[in-house]
Amino acid sequence: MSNISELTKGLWKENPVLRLLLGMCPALAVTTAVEYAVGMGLSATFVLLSSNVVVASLRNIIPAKTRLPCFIVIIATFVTIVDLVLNGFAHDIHKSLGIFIPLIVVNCVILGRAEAFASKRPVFDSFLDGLGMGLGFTLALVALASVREILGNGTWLGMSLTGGEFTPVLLFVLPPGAFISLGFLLAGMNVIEKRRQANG
Amino acid sequence: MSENRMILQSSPHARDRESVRKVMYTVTLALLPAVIAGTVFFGLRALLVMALSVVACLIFEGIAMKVSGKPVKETLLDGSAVITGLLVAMNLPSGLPLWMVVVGALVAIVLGKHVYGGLGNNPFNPALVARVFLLISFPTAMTAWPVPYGTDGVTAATPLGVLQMEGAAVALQSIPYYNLLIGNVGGCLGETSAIALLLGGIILLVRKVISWEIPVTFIATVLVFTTITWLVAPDKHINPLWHVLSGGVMLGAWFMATDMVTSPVSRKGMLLFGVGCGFFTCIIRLWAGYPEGVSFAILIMNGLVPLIDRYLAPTRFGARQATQGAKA
Amino acid sequence: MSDKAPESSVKAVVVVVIIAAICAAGLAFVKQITEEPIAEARRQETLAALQRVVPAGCEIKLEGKLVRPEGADEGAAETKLIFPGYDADGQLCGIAVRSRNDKGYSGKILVVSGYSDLESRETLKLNRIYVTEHAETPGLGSLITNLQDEEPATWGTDRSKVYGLNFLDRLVATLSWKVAKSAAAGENDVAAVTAATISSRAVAGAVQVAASLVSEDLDGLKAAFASTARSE
Repeated sequence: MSNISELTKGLWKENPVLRLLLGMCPALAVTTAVEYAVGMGLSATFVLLSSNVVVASLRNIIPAKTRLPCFIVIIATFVTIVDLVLNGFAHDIHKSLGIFIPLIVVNCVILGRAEAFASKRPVFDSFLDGLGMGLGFTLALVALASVREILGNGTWLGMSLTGGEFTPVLLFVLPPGAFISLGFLLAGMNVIEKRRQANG
Repeated sequence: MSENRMILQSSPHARDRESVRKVMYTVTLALLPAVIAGTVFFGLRALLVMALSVVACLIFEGIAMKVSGKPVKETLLDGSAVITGLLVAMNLPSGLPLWMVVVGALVAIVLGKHVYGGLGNNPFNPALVARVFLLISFPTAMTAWPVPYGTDGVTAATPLGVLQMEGAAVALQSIPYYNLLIGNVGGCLGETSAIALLLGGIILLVRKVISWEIPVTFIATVLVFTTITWLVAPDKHINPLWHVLSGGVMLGAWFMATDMVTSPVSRKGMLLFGVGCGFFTCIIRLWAGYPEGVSFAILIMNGLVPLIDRYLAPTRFGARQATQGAKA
Repeated sequence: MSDKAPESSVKAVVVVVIIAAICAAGLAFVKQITEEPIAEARRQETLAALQRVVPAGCEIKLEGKLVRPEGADEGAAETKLIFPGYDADGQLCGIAVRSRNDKGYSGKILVVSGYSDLESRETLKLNRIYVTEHAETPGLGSLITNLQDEEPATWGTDRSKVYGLNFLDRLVATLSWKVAKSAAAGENDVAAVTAATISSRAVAGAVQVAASLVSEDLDGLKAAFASTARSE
């Protein structure tokens, strides 16, 4: 039972982007299209999952004093692996995610989970935590990207929704649109949470 | 004396609806010449855009007040939404599709004002937020400038557009000063007539709704800056008079930059604010990608107002006491 | 505490070094596996872009590349890369040039342009262009690439909507290279993408540099490429 809550908490209750406000840089930068959001989300999930498992299994070996360098080295390794593999075998996705992949290294979600969770908990729990947090991160990115792509480009996952009849609100695919959409998403989350708390 | 003026300046901070209404009434009156000029040059379509924008602003204001649980009727009657709607329309080309006008009103009221807590709390001028939002979102529609007295769908570049695309010589030759002065040129429906806006500015000054600092330093900075560039490279840059009369300087200096909520409270602050607006306007006009920079300049300076107020108000405590005294 | 500290510090450092070493070994392994696919993907990408701009049946040879100015760094802004295309008989039938212009709305724009009918300067034709790299505003400046992944047959005739039309099948000698708003653009001018004159100008600038290079040095290039063809 508790295992399941480790998995599901990242999806809503402790959603890294929408509740913990971590990983803002990729959340703002790559959400111009749903396709990129999925690519970024899944890459980050892979890194998060791997780093959580490795950090959790080494948690008794890693010295407290130098734990942060250790975490960073481990995370950076997985990021580089993702970078190389995508570049070699999924070149188109790599082209569009471009400079954002190396930025996964400094994604606070990943270091945050290594520090706050994986370094103190058993491997299986950390695996679930990484999976849940990663999926929650992906979900938040997709939500944000959906708003931006639909409003800013008139498409969703590349499919035209309006048949070109509607002039897209270009601002939403530009950086200010990212902040505005994220602001309204956060406000929406807060409203829902408040209602839920008031009701229960 | 200056303290007295400052009370009027900051009246939207006051909770007294009566004074807000009086100020708003005067601003509407001051905008009237520009409204008439816009209608004369751009026809009934301009009037339609203005009416729609005002109505849409009123409706969105009502909804926003209702959602945030504030008194609806009182606010609607204070006229601030009317002014916002009118100013939004002034900053739009008259041929803009009507649904975009409604989007502009929505952005001005919700994104420009109510997300910050409503009237008196917004850091940025709501009408300019709407203009920039639309300009960035719909660049093609927002730069399709109808020709004065023109038929539907005929567009032409604004004077500043001509300046950027064709250079100073062509701009000087093709657009006489007289047209710039009365507003017989392409542009936003409320920005073209320098004389009508000047008249409105004088009404605001005489009725003490605004003080001279911001508009005068704004325009003076544009004059000085463009005089320097003109003297340095007369074949590349156009003369300062042309700069001041064209584009949105008049509308910006008299009606947008002087917005009481989003400009500094101290006199020194206002002087700096006006200089900054003029400075950024010139930088953007002369060297940036956009031909016109008034709205960006004012928004940038809006963002700096809290800093300006903090560091350029040495008599802050005295001033505040005087305000309270006067109110009581 | 004070006498324990040095020992644990040593251990801490050792652990970090070990972890780093293991990670490095793992990375070296992954790098080895992916090195070839990455190089191949890059090559294919370049080749596909170049192949688009020369006439059908004209095969680009990446190996025959010339760099102008000679010996220049391939990454430099002024550098032009020139690739030959040969037909089935091994005859030079097209030239593709990669050139660059940094005056886009968001800076650097890389364009490849293809040339055919190489008999003389008068017959030299600009076959087509393809923008390979840019960071222009989405939905606005980015329209310089509108439909460039489609076949030209689907492009229609509106130059202000499909920027590539300006450079499709044109005699190089007749092009004026003047970029104007579409309403004001003459037959031999370049019609800018609506509301994106700066981006349009940058692309046209890059193509102009490439076209004049080919046109001015046509005989030299032909000679150079003919000899590379023979030597293979």
